Amino acid sequence: MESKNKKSKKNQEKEEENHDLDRLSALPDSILSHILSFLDTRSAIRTSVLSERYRLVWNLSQCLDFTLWESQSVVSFESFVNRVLRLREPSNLTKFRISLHRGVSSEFMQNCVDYAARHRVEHLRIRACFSVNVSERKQRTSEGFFSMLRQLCNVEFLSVSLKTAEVMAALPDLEARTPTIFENLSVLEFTDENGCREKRLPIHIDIHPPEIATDVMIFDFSKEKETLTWLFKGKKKKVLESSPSLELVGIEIPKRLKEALFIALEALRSYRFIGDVPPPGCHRRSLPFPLSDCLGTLAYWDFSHGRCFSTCSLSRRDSGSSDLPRT
Amino acid sequence: MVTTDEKGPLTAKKKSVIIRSCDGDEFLVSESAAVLSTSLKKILEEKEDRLIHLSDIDNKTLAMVIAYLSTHADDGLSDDLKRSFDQEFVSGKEFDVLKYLVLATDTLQVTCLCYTVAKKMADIMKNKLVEWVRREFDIQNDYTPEAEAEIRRLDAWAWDDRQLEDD
Repeated sequence: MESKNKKSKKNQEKEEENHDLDRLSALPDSILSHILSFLDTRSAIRTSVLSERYRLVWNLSQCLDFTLWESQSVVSFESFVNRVLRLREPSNLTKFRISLHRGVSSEFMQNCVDYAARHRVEHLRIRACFSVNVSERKQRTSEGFFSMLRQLCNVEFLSVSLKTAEVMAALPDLEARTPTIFENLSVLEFTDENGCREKRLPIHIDIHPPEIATDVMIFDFSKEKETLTWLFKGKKKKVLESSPSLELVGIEIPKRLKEALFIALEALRSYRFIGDVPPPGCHRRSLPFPLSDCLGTLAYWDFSHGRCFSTCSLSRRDSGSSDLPRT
Repeated sequence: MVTTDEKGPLTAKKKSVIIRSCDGDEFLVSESAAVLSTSLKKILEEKEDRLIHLSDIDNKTLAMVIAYLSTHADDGLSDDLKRSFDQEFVSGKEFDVLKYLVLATDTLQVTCLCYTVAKKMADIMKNKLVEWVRREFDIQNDYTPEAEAEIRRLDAWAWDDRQLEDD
């Protein structure tokens, strides 16, 4: 065993108590599990075989992080993850990340999101590149992906990345949905990297604070019109006031847009758009409501200067009003 | 993280604290740096005495923690500089040194440093074979071969060693 020249008394005492003390095992559970929380779950579980000391330490990590690579078996991945979810310490999950490079069953996705929702995670990231057989599964999965997310009432960070048309097609229809409640959401990232071939692929996320039960906010990615619109339904002004914790919105979409984006939320700090720009002037028709109705911070991205890859940080309306388009 | 003390009246700015390690050596630290540690802040709030004795942190570790605290209490440094200082701070350090650092930062409740050090320790273990970790950290394998085989069997999916390093 390596000895340190100036080892503290307490550490020496600990060593005496603990006959097989080594450099890592001496750390208390709380610190060991903190260290393991920086590892992906698979690596964290591998530590269980180091010695008896590590048998259950991975269990205390507050993060879950799974990746399914293209070369790996879906069946064994699913049973592995399901087993981990069954076994781990149930009370302390804060982060859940899952990255899928192959298709998984919708039951499996459901199980993961259910788990995240039940444990009130604050941070959820789903990277999905899966291929679902649309014609066979559409019926089943249309109730799937987004309705799953509806249960995530405690989530503060939600990042969803969907890469294939199949997944987009599996998302629910606008009319069929009831509002989603994201009371604590402060970061929302929604990415669609490869674009879609389907004619109409609506996605919507409703941010629906409990105090104003009739308001919903909807993203409508409608490919048929090649438009991307941010729609507000219900009492528009109330929506602005009542999504106070939404701070960051990022949207990436490869298709050319004919309409512009408009975001107005009190706590919004940054709004990122990456994509093709519409012909000049189009944005003006798409403003969902007069600017004078907006409260607090306001963001508007004008796409009239060529293709844009840009992040704009927001300023308060009084200081940044000259940058805003006139209706 | 910058304390208000730095911007406060001159008297507050000049205040300093003496911290004594378990080896008996004393370190003079500005109060604005000391209060970045939640534990030290609590101690300073409770007692007038400007001498704090830390019975379980040695000289070498304490000096490192104090260097970190002083840098982070420096208003003149940008957040970017502080971030690169953090990276520099943990790079190239022995695992054993990191272990004492993580213990000390846990005791002193210096959350950011605890985070940085724990992450660094995890990075060292990342993608390594179990045998490598055991060897490197002198971990005594106290499983019976049967028990170890059983654990590996149950989580078989975690044991695909193809991508793991053993150097």
